[in-house]
Amino acid sequence: MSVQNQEKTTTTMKLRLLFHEYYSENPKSVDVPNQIHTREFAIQAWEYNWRCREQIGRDESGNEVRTGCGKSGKSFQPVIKCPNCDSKAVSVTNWIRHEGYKSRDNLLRNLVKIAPHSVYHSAAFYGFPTAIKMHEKEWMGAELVFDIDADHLDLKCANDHDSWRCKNPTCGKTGTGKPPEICPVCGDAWYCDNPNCGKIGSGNLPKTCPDCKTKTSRKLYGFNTRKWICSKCLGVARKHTIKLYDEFLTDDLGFDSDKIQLNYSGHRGYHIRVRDPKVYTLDSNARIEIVHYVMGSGFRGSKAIISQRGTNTIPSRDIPGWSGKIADAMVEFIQNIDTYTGREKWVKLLKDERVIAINMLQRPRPVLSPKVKGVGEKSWQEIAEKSVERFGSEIDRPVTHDIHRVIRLIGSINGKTGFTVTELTRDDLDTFNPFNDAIAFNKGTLNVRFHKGPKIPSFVINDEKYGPFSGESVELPIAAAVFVLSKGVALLE
Amino acid sequence: MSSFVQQLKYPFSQEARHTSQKYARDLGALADLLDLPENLYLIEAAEKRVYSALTYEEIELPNIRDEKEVLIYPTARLIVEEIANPQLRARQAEAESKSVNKQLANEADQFAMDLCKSSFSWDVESMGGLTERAQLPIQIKTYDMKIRFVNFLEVAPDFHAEEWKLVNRYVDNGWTLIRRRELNRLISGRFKQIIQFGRLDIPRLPQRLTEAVQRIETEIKGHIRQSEPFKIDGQINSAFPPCIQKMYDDSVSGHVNLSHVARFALAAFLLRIGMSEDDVNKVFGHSPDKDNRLIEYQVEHIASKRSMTSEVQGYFPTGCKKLQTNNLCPVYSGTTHDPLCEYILNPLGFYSTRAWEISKNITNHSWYAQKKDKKQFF
Repeated sequence: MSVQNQEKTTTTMKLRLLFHEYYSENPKSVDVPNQIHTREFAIQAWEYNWRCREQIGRDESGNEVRTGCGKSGKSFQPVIKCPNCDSKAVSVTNWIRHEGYKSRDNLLRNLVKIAPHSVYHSAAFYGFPTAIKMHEKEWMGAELVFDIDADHLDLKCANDHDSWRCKNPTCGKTGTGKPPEICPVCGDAWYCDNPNCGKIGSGNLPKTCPDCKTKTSRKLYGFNTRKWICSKCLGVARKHTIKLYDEFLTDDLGFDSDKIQLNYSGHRGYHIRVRDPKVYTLDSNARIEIVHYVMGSGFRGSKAIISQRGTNTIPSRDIPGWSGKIADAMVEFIQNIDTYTGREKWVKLLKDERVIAINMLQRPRPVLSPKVKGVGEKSWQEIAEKSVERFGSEIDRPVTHDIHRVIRLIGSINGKTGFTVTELTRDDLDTFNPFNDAIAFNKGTLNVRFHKGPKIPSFVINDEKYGPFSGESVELPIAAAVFVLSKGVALLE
Repeated sequence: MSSFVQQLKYPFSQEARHTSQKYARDLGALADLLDLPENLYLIEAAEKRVYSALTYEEIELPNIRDEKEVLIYPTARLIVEEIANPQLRARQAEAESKSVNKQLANEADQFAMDLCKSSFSWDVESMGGLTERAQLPIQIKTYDMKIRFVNFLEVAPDFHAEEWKLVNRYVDNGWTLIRRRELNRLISGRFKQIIQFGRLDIPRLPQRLTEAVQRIETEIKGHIRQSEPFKIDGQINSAFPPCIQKMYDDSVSGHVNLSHVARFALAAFLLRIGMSEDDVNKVFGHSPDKDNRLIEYQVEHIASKRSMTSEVQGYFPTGCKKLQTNNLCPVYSGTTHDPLCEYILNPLGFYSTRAWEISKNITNHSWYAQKKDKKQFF
């Protein structure tokens, strides 16, 4: 094993040991889902399970050819070929799905025993949660779940703290923010498809290789990305969570707050579970309607904004549903009109008269200002639709409408950060700071060595600022050390 | 008419179910009962009811002069389930639900609300009389009732008009406002689901019922097309974007009623890629609620629209955005994926690119990233 692999393994073993201690010392912090015997559990393990697939085929002359050895094993590193016979037909996964637990004790015992990287359970209730095939599980219903993740919010701070590296081993170009479509360095390279030739060129793709006349192709290697978290992105995720909770789930959809469970995901966002038996049997189509409702998609402006005797009218705030929210949504939209990239004719007109437009909309009985010249009924309707879409909560859609999803177990540790998946009340959410309030480990220090390469952004844990780092060896309080080790930007020294 | 007898007309009502069970506690017992000569009229009425559904005629609900007539509906279901032809089942569901919808129009509000509660456990409340509602804002004054939104969502997603989308409803504290005629549609829509998706354990059928089954089976041949649907040339077909492929498959399978938006999108797309009007009509000729003249009229209408700006005749096919808000984009809803979808805003753009790729034998799609701009993200 190479020195680096050895160090990775040591780091993983240390984290696992810490997680093990956490689960044995804090069994009470794990929130066991109700009707646990009907839930499917999924575990993301520290190690990869690999299995070399034994295959029998025939070669061109019809002789039987065997590939693969059928062996299996575990590895802390991702496996690309069979360690035993070098066959590339290996299945590798660090996920274990279709697990089931009869009771709380059963689950806790197993958590202490395996101290997994991450643990999830189904929002669904099944007759046979451990059945491998979905249709054999006998779906009986599911909680209504929402995932609000900074990942989906397209935030500016990502440009400062996220980074990427080209996967082409001969390139390795790095950058910050979102990765580009194609690598600016090796992106226009082409490759001869003939393995015996292997010619590489750049620029326009020739139809055939100039050397051997075989077909050529572009090869896009893709990028490794490193996503970071900061108080800004978590702040925006929190804002969306609050809006979803207050405005949509409790006000409009009328769920009792004691039937809504809220938690920090342990990484970049928040989860909401609605545990009201009334929603359990809603099918995927019904859940899509709820998704569209909270996101404001599919809203028709023509239903709300109508022209009466030459005046365009907008519903007042006391009208239930989205109609009553339009005025506020439009105020917010016009306030931020400079960030709108559409090219409709009304954009400039609105920009010119934004002050009066906003003032009139903010009145107790909102009004569409006739001073915004040239904007007629149709345009106001369009503006209302755009505003509603922006005003809606940003959620990760499939999580809500997929009735078989698994969601992180509350009270477990998120292996991507070492933070706890923390249950919160609605009031907690207002003041919650993950970098202080979701810390699992507080005793002692660890020596870590940061990776070289793109700068690792600074971060604050327990009110102490650390970094930025690149290549240093440092002694850190355990909370900060676990965070950087889990994020994979440092190794144990 | 007393409310009890009135409810018997609705096969899904608790009263009808209880009364059925009083005579025959399960389908096995029903089969035995139907074997008795004095009950032959029930089989005859059931057969007529299925035949009406098959031929798009209106189903006549029995007057229930005789309580036993509640057994006609389960007998009709037995016939259809025994035949197990999905298109016949779809027609039965369509016809039964239509007749219920029509019947409900004659019922009092309170009766309809009680029926919801006792049949489906739905919570529906009155918004008060006209005078009570007079104080309400003008937009919501015309709504006579409210229903729990979760109950509304059991059926509303089956309807495709924009006004059935929750985002376009007045929703407050768990309730959504509805009009009386909308409630009738929800009730009949729920009944339709029961027939479409409820499966029966078929017992051994008595001789007379088997004969009825055989007669209907013979009739099916004349009324449900058995022939293979119009085939688009394999190569063209494989260039379809995922959304069009799904709508096309749904349409020719004949199990699903495509929404208006979906029919429009599919027809405009097929016409624009050069399919003849005749052939497009055939693609739509399988839907359970088909009406040939209407189909032809609509297809012709879509095909013949003239535009000032475009040289090509006909409506431009529906774009991605509209398909997405109408749940017609399988990539948006996460059930499938194609890298090309990120680079287009209209299914037609997908088709022209993919057809070109197929003609040039290009299977590696990595060139999109280099030559094209991303237009949307999933």
